[in-house]
Parts: sequence; structure tokens; C-alpha cells
Amino acid sequence: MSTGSNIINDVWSILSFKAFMPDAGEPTLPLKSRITAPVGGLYIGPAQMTGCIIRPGRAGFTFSDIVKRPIDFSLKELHPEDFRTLFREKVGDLVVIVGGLTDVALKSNIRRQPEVGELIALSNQAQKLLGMNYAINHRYSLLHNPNHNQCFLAGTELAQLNALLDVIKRVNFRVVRLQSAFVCALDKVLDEEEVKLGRAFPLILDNGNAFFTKVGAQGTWEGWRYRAKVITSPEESALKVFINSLALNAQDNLLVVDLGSSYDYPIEKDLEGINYRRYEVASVGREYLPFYLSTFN
Amino acid sequence: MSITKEIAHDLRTVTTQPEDLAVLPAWAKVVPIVFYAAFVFCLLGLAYYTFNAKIYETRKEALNRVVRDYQDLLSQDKTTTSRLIEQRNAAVQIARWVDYSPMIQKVLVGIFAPLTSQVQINDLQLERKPGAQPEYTINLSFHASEEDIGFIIKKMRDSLAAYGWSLTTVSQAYQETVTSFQGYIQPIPSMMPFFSQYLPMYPDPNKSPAPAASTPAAATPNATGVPQ
Repeated sequence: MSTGSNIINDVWSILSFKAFMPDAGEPTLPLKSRITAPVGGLYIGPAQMTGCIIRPGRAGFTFSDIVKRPIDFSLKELHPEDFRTLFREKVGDLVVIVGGLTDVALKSNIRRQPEVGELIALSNQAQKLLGMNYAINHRYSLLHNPNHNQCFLAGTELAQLNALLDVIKRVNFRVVRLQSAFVCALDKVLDEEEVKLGRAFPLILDNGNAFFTKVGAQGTWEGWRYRAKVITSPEESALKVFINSLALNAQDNLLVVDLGSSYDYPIEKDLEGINYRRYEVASVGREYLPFYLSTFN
Repeated sequence: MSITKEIAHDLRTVTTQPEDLAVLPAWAKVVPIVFYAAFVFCLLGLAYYTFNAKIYETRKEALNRVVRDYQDLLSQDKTTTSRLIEQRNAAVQIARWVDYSPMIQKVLVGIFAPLTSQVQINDLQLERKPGAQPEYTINLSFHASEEDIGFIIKKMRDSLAAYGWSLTTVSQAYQETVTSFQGYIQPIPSMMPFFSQYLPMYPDPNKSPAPAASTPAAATPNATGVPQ
């Protein structure tokens, strides 16, 4: 409830119970506590955008009405009409997941902050928090190792985000969450028990980009590999080359999180001879995985 | 208030401090709930009041109708009472007139005694004929059913006879439930001896003497009413 608004608005917000609900766009609160109506889900990368309807429920979120559309131009050339027809149901709020725009680095010199405090510091005082790791015109996310002094620093170029947000604003959508698909997938997969124990190594495929990290038996993150554009067409892929460069042993297992390549490339043929398991959720279809990962909290 | 894990990773600009989230506590939901409950209560009360008001309006209208009916009855009763008073006064006048006319008392009793309440008298005229001996012309107009007329006249005749008077019919007409009866009422000489406290009258020398009465009972008063 806003304290500066006039008394009629305050009374109405109490009578309509809005005063007891947090703002749907409040970033410091879990999504499930502030979303009460269906929202649109937008997963957008350099070559493709996907829309769906995300419905809150008692048991969690449900996902439906997926629409995929290729993008053969830069995000700066997006037009409002591109979004209007992406959702089969009228929605006012959007959960936006950007793919293929994030760079990542493993750091050990960034001090951990209390949870919400870190979110606020990354937004307002990123340079002070990150020090020499900070690059201008970037938005950052941090993934801390729970047991060791190391973290993944994920940076997304601000110009790309602003271009996207400008178009969304022109369509009169309100963004209630803006996340990097790669970051939320990495955060989830690093929390898997087999990964924490070093029995499986995560391999994340996001919009044709590939990320791999090796986890030691003690839970340490022992290096990482990132390669952009390993998948560039429905027929061509450098994924096999990328996997071979990882120098995996015969005992090593991969936990593959495929957020959907831009070209629906069948990754299984590049994973032949490799011990791997797809990260899948029984109650959620494979195409909805990015949306599922973005609604965890 | 904190996020359970730092997974939020929201790339938007975050300005809100958790303690700034001005969300009212859950217990304050009682305020709108009480408001809506009071609103519903008022609506139900209004509906109840409206429903009862219609019932009371109907009852009031019915009572007003009853009052109007009783007022009409009262008005009719006043009219009836007034008419009855007029009739009673008229009857008293007749009774007083009768009191001052002892001869006609028996005649009237003989006429009215057999009449029942079903017979409604419109007009009654009794006219005494000239002469010392009482003889009356009767003009009676009354309402009665046609089949009862003969019985009424017969009873009237019998009643008059019991008091010493004979009724002779001159004319009788019936038209639209109204019977017009004309007749003569004369004393029955054998039953009604006439006495006079005054001196006897002498026979008129210019007239021949009247024939003697045929019945022995008629010997007491003679035809002229002069006691012998």
C-alpha cells in the first residue's frame, strides 16, 4: 500500500485486499508469493523467442500454450507486434528470461552478501561489490559455492537488456522477473545432489551456447569451459568438438540441461559414447524447462 | 523478509529494501472482511425491512378496508336508527291517537294482530262513516307474496271477528308485490252491544220504525245503538 496516494486509493486497496498482497513486480520477494494471476513467460535469445502462459497454483506453477518464433534480426530491431501475438491469452505481466546473452567467469575474490542485500548491491552498487571484476554497462548475477569461497559471476550486457525492455514497455507489459536463462539453470543444476558430490558434471546448452564446469568430490568448482555458438543450424554443431575438448574420463557423467537450442538440433547424436543424463522434470515438458527453472523462487 | 535462496538473480533495477515493503499484516484482513460482512448484513436487513414493509402495508390496507366497512355500517346504522326513530315517533303518535279513540282500538288490534313481520304495510287509511254507529272504510296497501294474500285477509277477518267486527271486501288488487285492499269494517251486532250514557233517542216520527233484529243475541243493542 502506498503511503503517498490519496485516501480513496488506500481504502480501495484495503477493500480489494491489494494492501495485503505484495506488488507483483517486487524483485526481493519470491515469485510464488506475489503472482496470483496468469502471467506470460518470454524466453528470448538472439535467434528465437518463445512465449507461454504461466499459471500459479497451490502445488506450484503450471505452463501451457507455448509459441515459438524465430528471430532473424538483432534484439534492437524488435517490434511490439512481435510480442503481441506471442501469448494466446491476455496477460499483463511477463516473466522474461534472456538466453545466449550472458558471459560467465569463476571468481574467488568476491565477498558474499546477505541474500537480498546482494541482489540490491548488484543492482545499485555493483562496482563496489565486484571491484575489479566489474565491467561497465553490465548487469550481474552471482552464484556462490555454498561450501567454498568461490562463485560464478554472470554478466549480461545492459544495452541488450534495455533494448528488450524498451520494446516490452511499448507493448504495455510489466516485467515481474528478468533473468538469465543460463544463470537460473546453472543455479539449479549446481544444487543437484549428484553434482555437489562430483558424480556428475553439468553441461548447459542455452541458445546454442555451451557451458561446462567440473565439480570436485569436495564440492569445489574445478574450472569451467564456455563456448558460444556450438550449435549454429539444425544440421551443424560443434558440440561434439566441445565435449571432446573437456577431456572427460570414461567414468565421468554429464548432467545435460538443454534449454532449447535455436534450431532444435538433436544433441543426442553428439553425446554418443558419453555417460550423460538429461535434466528433466516429470511434470513439465522439455520445452517449458527454462520457464520452470525461472520460477523456483 | 528474505528470499530462501539467491536464485532470484533479477536483472532489473532493485530499489526496494525488504523492510520498505508496506504490506499490511494478515490479521488486518479482518477490516475488509468486517466491512463486507456489514455490507451484506445491511443488504439483508434492507431486504428484510422491504419484505416486512410490504406485508405491513398489505395488513394496514386490509385494516383500513375493515375500518371503512365498519364506518359504512355505522353510517347505515345511523340512517336506520334515524328512520326507526321516525317510525317509532309516528307509531307513538298513532298509539296516542288510538288512546284517545277507544272505539278504534279493537279495530286496529284486529287488523294488526294477525300480520307477521313478512308483511310490510305501505299505507293504511281508516275513515269513519258518518252516523252514530261506528263503521269504517279501510284502505290498506301492503307488500306480501301473492299466494299469502288470501290467507292474510282471512286471518285479518277472523281477528276482527274475534273483537266483534266484520270485514267486508270491496276491492282487492295485486300489482308488483303490492296489494291494495279496500273494505268496510262494521260491528257485529250480536257481539258488540252499544250502550249510551246519554238519554235515549226517540224514534223519528217522520220515519217508519225499523224492523226487529233477526237474532236473539242482537236484542241487546238495537240497530240505532239505543239500548232497550
